[in-house]
Amino acid sequence: MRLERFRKKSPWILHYNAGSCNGCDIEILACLAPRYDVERLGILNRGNPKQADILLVTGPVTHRSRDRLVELYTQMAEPKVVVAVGSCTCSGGIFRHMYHVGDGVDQFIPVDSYVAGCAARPEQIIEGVARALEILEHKSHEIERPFQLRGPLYCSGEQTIRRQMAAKVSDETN
Amino acid sequence: MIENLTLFLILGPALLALVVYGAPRRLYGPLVVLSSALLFSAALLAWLLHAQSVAIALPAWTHAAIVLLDFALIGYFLWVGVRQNHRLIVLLALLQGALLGWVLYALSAAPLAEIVVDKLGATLWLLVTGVGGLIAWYAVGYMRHESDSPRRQQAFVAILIAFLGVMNALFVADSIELFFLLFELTTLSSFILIGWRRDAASRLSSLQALWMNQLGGVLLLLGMGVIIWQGAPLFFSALLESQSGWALGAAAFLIAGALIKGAQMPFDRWLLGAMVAPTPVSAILHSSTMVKIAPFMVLKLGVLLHGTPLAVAVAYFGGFVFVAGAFVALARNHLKEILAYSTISLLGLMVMLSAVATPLALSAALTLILFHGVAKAMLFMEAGVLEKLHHAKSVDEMGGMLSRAPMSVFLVLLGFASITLPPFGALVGKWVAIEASAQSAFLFLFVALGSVVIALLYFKVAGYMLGKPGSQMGLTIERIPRVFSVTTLLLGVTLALSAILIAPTLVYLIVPAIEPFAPGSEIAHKGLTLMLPSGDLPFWQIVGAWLLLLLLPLAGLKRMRRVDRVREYSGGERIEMQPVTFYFPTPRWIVRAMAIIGAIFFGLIVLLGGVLWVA
Amino acid sequence: MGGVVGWLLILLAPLIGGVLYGMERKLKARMQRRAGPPLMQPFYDFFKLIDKRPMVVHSLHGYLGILHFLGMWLALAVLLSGGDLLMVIFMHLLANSFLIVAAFSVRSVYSQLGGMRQLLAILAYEPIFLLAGVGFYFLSGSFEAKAVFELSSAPLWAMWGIVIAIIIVMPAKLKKSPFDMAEAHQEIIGGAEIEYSGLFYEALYTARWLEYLFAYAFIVLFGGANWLLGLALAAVVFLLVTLVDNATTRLNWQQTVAITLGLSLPLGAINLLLIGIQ
Ligand code: SF4
Repeated sequence: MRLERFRKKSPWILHYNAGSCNGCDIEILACLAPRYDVERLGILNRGNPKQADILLVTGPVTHRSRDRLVELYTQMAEPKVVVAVGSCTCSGGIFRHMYHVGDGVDQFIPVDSYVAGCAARPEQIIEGVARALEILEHKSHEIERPFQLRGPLYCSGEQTIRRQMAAKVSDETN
Repeated sequence: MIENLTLFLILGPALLALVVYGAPRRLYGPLVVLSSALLFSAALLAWLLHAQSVAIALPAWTHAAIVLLDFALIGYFLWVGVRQNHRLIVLLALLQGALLGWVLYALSAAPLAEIVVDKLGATLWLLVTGVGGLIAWYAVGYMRHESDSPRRQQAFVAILIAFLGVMNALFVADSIELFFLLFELTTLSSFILIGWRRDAASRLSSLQALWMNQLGGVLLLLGMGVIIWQGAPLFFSALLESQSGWALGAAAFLIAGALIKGAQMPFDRWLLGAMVAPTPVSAILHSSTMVKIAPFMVLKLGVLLHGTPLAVAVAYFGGFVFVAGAFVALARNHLKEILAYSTISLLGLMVMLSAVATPLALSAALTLILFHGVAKAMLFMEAGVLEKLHHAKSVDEMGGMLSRAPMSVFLVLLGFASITLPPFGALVGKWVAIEASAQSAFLFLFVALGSVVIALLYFKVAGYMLGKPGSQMGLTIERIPRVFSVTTLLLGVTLALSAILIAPTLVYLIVPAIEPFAPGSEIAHKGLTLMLPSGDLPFWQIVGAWLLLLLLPLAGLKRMRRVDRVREYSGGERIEMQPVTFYFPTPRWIVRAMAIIGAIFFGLIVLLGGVLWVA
Repeated sequence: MGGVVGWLLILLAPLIGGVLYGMERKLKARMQRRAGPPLMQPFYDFFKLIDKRPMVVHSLHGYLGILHFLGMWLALAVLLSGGDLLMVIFMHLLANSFLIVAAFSVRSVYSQLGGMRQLLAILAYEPIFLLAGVGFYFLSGSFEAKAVFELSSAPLWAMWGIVIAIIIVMPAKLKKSPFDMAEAHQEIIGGAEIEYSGLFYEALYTARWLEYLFAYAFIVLFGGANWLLGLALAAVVFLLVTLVDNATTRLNWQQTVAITLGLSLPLGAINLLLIGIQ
């Protein structure tokens, strides 16, 4: 049996707000609510990185939320995908080049699917997730690491220790 | 043969204690081990050889000796009271003296044997010498960590060994006069050992224990007085044979006295105070043997009580203490206090079952007495290890103890599991208890509620000890002095083995002890399958649960391979969180209400004694 | 039950439990006028979870999850093989104790809080289940589930109070609103199960199916020999629990314990007393 087939039948979501204006968050909640009812696709909002397959991020990644974002990302078990929801999440949007933001999630972690729109519509979000699921089906179990705030990955024998995988901002020279 | 063994088990400990006390420092450790082994083999032999009750008459001069010792003890208490300026103790000592004088004055000699060794007594010897012997051995190691002089350490261990003789005698005494002396001797040992550390807290606790236990003695004397008043012989066997109301009255007083010894509410304070004593004292006196006098007395008189209002009162009292004790324990913080209150609570259950007095209930009570004895002794010993080696007394200090002291924590867990989970002896005892108490809906409610609260209590503590720091990679294997590990492990292995062999254990250990005076418990076994009249416990369930519990420590030792190690989730934050335990602070008025209800029950039992006597 | 049917049920328990769980999710969605996930959704989740990269906080924690699952299966086996009802409840406690110990063994406030709340949930429902065991004993003269299935008149009629009491505590057992403090998604994010992922979460996930089957199989007992009536009762309770889950919000532990014990314990006790009198 090909287990990969089941990845897209039961995608569990972790939603993280990296400093968004809440516009896209509301739309994500609308997806989960009865009108769009994404649970019919097997999608559940777990609120727990350890049990999630998809990271739905909104917001341009403000400085204060950097290490949280990376920490949550590294706590998700592979295979995993990231969906950036909203223009500001994709590129910084209306917050671009401001002093306190990171100009998009893909500066920090690999993003698999971009959903544009300010705010993104529920249909678009579902579409973006569906795209991401296609990518998810072909992913391997290799550990995916963030671009910034990378911490060390220790290997002892056959086990990998990923406790320090996400570094804190204060760990670096800032 | 049995006669000689009995004499050895009763008088031997005193002699051995003298030897241990006088022995040179080098020899004293091995001597303690030797005497423990001797005593236990004697008890084992007696248990194996025991076929029917053996009556042993004491020579006439012993009567005089008993009287002399009685008065000497009361005199000593009086002296303590005067010297410590404790009015209550003085008063109670005087009262005891007066009552005893009157009882002796009216006493007429009866042609009965003072000691009757029945199977129940022989079975309890196994507990006393087995657990007690191990604790004496453990105490040798424990006392090295105390600041006492070597001589005083030897004295301590010697007292513990001598105490075993008192307990052995107590469980087979048929003469109530002798029983009273032994009862007072246990009061004395409690007093001396609680005050052992000679600081202010010890002094206060020991005085409190003294006066409460003296009150127990007074109640015993009242019971004796009732018997003497009727001109009946002062013997348990004679009391059990008489069917009249005054016998019940006497029984009520005797039981009330024993209940104080068992620290049943509202007299729970003295046992709590007793926790200032060195841990071996708590292990042997205040959990596994001496406090068992309460259920033992009810068990012995249970047949007499059966179906009377007195039995109902005692049973409800026990049930109430079972629930109340567990609730109070929830709010406690020190491991020893938690263990003390759970002891009080479980003693309540045993008292209740003994008062229900159907053959099945009595078997359940004895099962609990034995297995609770083993488990609690082990728990207290481990509490001692944690205290001495890791300087942790309160549960708060024990957070994450698993990574520092894996073996101790494992044994504590085993002890907790053995009281709350299948297939361990105490849980099976509780199971039998529910099946036995199910006749009465309300009594059963107590059992159901109490056992759930006890489970809540134990898992709360166990969980906290397990709180393992995530950053720590492995367990550090602790270095435990060999005395500690050998003694506690022996008890642990006993628990584990008796769990898988629970069916034969019940049939060959418990039933023969109960059968002679309450036949028809209908407990049977087929291989490992345990069969009760109301339901079976098939072997695959026993083995299944046992294997699951056995897998647990094995799993702890085997690291997983090819599995990533991650941090705990903390909402993306990277802060070190330090969880603390939940407390369930019992409001003061509830504690007070519990004491008052206990007091009302207790008063009711004493009052019933008076009424039944007069009627 | 007992016999071949019983053992077959025991073997297939995870399958049946999975379908039951799928039905529950579907029903819940329909009550909210949603389409809801496919019936087989739990199994899709099952296969997906196998496929994830395994992660644990520490080995013991992972093993404890698996032991929890095995313990739950054992408890269910004792029930379905017609074993002693009290032992059934104790075995269930054994299974839960593994999860609780696991919850406490990681340094996560959510997990520890969840473990503590799980204990309180046990305090809330366990006495009632013990009460039910004794009720069955009054009627059949035996604590064994086997004997209950031979009762010609359904225990439901005599044990009305206990049935209501069980319905009251049912949400606490199944971790449903309003007594889902032990799990409390979005508050303590699953409580005891928070640190599990992938294969190890799978153990908990399937244990949950077994828990469903366990709880509803217990309800079926109330039908006695008339197991159709028992099944119907279970269906009604299933509907009711799902409805209440949809319609209520979470209560804290004080409220939970006060309501469950304060309401259902007296009810059960009075019922038991009445049975005792007859
Ligand atoms: S994309 Fe627009 S609506 Fe969405 S979070 Fe960013 S700023 Fe708000």
